[in-house]
Amino acid sequence: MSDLYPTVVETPRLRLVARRPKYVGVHEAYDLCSAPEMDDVTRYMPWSRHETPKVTTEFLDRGESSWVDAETADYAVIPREGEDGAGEIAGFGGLHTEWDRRVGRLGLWLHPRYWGRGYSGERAAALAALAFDALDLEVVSVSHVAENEKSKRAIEKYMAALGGGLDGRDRNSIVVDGEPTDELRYSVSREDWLATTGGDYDAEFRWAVAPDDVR
Amino acid sequence: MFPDEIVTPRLRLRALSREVVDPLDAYEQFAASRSDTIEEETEFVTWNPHETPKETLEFLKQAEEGHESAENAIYAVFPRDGEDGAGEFAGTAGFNPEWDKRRAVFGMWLRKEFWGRGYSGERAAAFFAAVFDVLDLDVALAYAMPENEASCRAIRKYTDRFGGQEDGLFPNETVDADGTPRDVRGWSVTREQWEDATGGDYDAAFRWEDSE
Repeated sequence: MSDLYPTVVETPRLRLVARRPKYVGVHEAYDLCSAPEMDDVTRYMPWSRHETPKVTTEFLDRGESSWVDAETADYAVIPREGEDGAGEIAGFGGLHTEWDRRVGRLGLWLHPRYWGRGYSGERAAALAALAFDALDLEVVSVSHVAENEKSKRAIEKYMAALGGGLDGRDRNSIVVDGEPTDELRYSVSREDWLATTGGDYDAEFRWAVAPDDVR
Repeated sequence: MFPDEIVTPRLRLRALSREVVDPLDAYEQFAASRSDTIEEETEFVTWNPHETPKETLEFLKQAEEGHESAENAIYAVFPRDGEDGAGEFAGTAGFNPEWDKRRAVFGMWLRKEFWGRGYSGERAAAFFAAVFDVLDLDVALAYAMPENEASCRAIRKYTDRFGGQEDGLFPNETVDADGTPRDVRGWSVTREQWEDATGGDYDAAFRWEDSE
């Protein structure tokens, strides 16, 4: 039996590996999730850096259960050979599948060391293709906290490249540090994605991978 | 926490319960088999006409629980004396607070007989006062499917009047009663906008039943 989501996604510069305890070690993930630089990452997120490995264990366990329940395809984002930091986990991201609405919701964070390389767009192109081509979803959406200028720039750019754009503002939609704040929401439909990209993408999805070949 | 009764110039809103609306009387208005207009009245909502009186009963009990627990406010709408159909159960209207986000989402279902009278805007004016002045929330939101032109018009008009705006069109944002994904248009008014537009004044009275 195979899972709905591919265990490994490969793009030109990235390897996405299922966020499951059998593929991602709790200590390597904790080193990343507890790094002081994470405060810059979580400034616009509804969580804060991990204070104990217990938090990281639960984070990986949630990845496992939402994977098995076909709710979210969550991945560790790992730069491939030739990239600075190759083989290290740069961050985590995935596609949350809301089957009843036929919507796939993108999410991602990267350690600041990996910012500015265009990894976000490369991952988005691959996961949008996964959503439309393999999972038969109709819409891929993403949102960012309105004040988060870096995410805004990245999302505007890759959404335009995929054929989508801004849908609007969701006021007081997320609580960050106890304060309700606005999010900007974007989406692309399958039709617009097909019209813009021709349905072409530069990514490989691997469902059947021998355990030793995952990393 | 929620007012038990809200009185506007032309409407009386009473917290929906089995005491305020008898389940079998309400079923006459909600039932596919009893009401000639229910299909049209539910074309753009996310629930279907009721198939049995049990559904109506459950709906009323749910409303009572939401009121009691301060999770969801839903009112029965009655036109006041002087209105055509005064005292009749004209529909339901509510606001759903999301306390942690300090916002509330408006909703309304009105029987066709009472359409076109501006009741939606009058009820909204009272709800803005309730969520901003009484409940200390920061944002009020309203949604409609883009195909629902009458609701879009009504919402556009009252959000505009109170200083708000359209926030966007969100594809596949909800699922209708038949399981089909549907787009949703959204509007909002913030507390600051409401205060700038009204000076904090409103024409509505809130009443709470004596509590022990």
